[in-house]
Amino acid sequence: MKQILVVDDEKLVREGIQEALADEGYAVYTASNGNEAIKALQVFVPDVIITDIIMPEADGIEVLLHAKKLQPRPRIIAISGGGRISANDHLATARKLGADVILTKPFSIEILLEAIEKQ
Amino acid sequence: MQFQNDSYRISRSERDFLRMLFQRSPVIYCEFNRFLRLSYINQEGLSFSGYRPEEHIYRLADFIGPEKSLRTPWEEDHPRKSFIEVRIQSANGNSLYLNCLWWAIEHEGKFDGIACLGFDSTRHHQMMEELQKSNSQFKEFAQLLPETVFEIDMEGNFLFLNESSYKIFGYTKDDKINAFDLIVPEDQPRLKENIKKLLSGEAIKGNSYVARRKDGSTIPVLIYSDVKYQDGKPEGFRGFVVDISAIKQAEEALLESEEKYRSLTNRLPVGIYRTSREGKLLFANRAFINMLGYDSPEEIFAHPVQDFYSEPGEREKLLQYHEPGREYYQPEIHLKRKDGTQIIVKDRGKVYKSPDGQIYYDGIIEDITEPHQLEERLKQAEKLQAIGTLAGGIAHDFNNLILGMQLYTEMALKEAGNNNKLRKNLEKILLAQERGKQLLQQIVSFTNYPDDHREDINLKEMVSNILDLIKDTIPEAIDFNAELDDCGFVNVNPVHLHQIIQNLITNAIHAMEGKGRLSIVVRCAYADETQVKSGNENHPERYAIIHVEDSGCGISEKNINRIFEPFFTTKDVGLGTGLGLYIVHNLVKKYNGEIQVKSHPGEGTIMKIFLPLANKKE
Repeated sequence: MKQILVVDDEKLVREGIQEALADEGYAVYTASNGNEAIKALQVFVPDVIITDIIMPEADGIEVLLHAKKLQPRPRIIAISGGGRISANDHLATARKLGADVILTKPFSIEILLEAIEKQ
Repeated sequence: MQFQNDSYRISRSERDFLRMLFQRSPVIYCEFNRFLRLSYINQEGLSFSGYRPEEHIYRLADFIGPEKSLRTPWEEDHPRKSFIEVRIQSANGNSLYLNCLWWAIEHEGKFDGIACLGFDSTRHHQMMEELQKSNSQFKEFAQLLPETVFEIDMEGNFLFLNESSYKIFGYTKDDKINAFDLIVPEDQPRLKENIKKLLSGEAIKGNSYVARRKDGSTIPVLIYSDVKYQDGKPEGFRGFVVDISAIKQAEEALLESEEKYRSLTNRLPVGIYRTSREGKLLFANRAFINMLGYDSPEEIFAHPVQDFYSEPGEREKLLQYHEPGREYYQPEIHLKRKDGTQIIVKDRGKVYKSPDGQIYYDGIIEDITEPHQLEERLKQAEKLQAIGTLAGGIAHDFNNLILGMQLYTEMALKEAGNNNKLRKNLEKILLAQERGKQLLQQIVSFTNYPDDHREDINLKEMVSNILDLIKDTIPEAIDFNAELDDCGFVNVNPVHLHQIIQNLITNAIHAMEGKGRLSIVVRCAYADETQVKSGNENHPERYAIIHVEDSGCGISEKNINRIFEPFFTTKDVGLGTGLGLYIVHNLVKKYNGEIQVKSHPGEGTIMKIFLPLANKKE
């Protein structure tokens, strides 16, 4: 069973993704900000990390940088919902820094599942 | 006794007759012998001159004038004067003058003396003397003047010409000059005309002519003259001539300077004007006339300035300024051109008070219609940007909420199973969320850059980046393929390019309902090949073509002409804003590009975007 860490400062999003993925049979853990996420990563290495990029207190980029160093390297899915096109700049940065998938909010569960399983 | 036909020659006996005839008459009769000495004077003559009969008289009289005039009866080659002047020395030493009729006495074929019938002309002589004196005084005075003073006869011969004239005209006293020849041929007709006027009694002021010097050079002159009459008949002209070269030069300099200022004011790209308080246009330069759409000064001056104001009452604002020297400035006035179109101008000027007390407004107007329009558009863009920024500020949270709603709705949908009613309701909620997402995206897209921001962007790179960002949101069931040629650079706002591509791909995905083939191709082309309406048909422009093809449901014939309309959508009610392609179309047009659609129901759709490539030197 794949282990997934979801990092997002919005509770609705966190819990929504968690529930949706749990329904699909994943073990989902959550963190509400970057610091929490990094702390969690010091304890376990998930198969997939889904993280929002723009967050207070150490944003997703930091999570990403940290995650890159983990062994075995998790699949990293960066998400952002600024709606601003400039949010895409963040996502582009995330891609350059090693995110495997970029998703702009809102997205469907289907897309998310594809992102998790895509080879 | 018979007087001969040559009635001025008489014999001795005729002389005796005359003597006897006039002996006691009240007219003066005297005789001179052949030596031209007084030989007889009658009683009247004696008392006239104050002598008693016994006194010696032979030294009394002299003939005035050259003796030749006396000898004329004997010398035929000279015309005879009917009168001769005789001077008599009176008893108390004064000179008395007689104007005399005279006869020549002939004896034995020889000149024997003169017989005279005299009339007192002392007074006349005095007058003549005074005239002479004044003439010479005048002449002395005339000699002093630096200008030309002249007296001519009717034929133009000079009777008097002062010293200065010779210097001015470069002649010497020995030269024979005719006055009329001193005027250049071109002015002769006018000269004759003026002479005629003078002679007919018309009082005329000085006239200007061009005069000619001895060496052929010319000078502009002003001639003041009058007719000289003798016994009621015109005998000649007198007057003076002023050299007006200096004045002419000053005149020319003034004209030149005037011309310089006139052409300067007409060249300036601002409208220069003068108006009266009552609203009469008194001066307008070329730019002013053109700005208001009129063709000529005459045309525009016919209008009161109130005609040019779009808003009644605008003119009154100006009238509050009336202190001379007061400057005024109106940053924005709406004016009406001849054809009714509006322009917006800046009006700046000064109140001027003329010497006769009139108040004028002298100013300039500058057309700011275009900058004004740009400003308005900028304000509009700024407003939109503000809205966008505002929206952007909450977009993050909004998108989170929409995502949350979407996730739970999708999960609920899974739970709905066969409950069709429930399914339908949940699907409707999903549609609403989709619409919300799109709306937000479109509002927020106004932010980040001012609308006119442009950059030179490497098209291939940019499209590649954009695809990178959105490819993960393309469902796996869709076979996605991208082929990007390097065509160079386009000069666009990167945000807009993102919007264009995003919109096209979104539409394609929707048309395919989650599965099918989607391809993006970027390639280069020339104008003639692409049949693109470019601004200059003759200039082969390079274009990049962004080609988006899907295997979706296609567009029906009846809809294909409407797809770019705002709010037109074939998506189900609640889904889609109908703004996507409208925005794409506006953006493409903004960049002087073109958009073409090829589609048939059931056969998929091809969207082709043409963007002009920037001529960037790499």
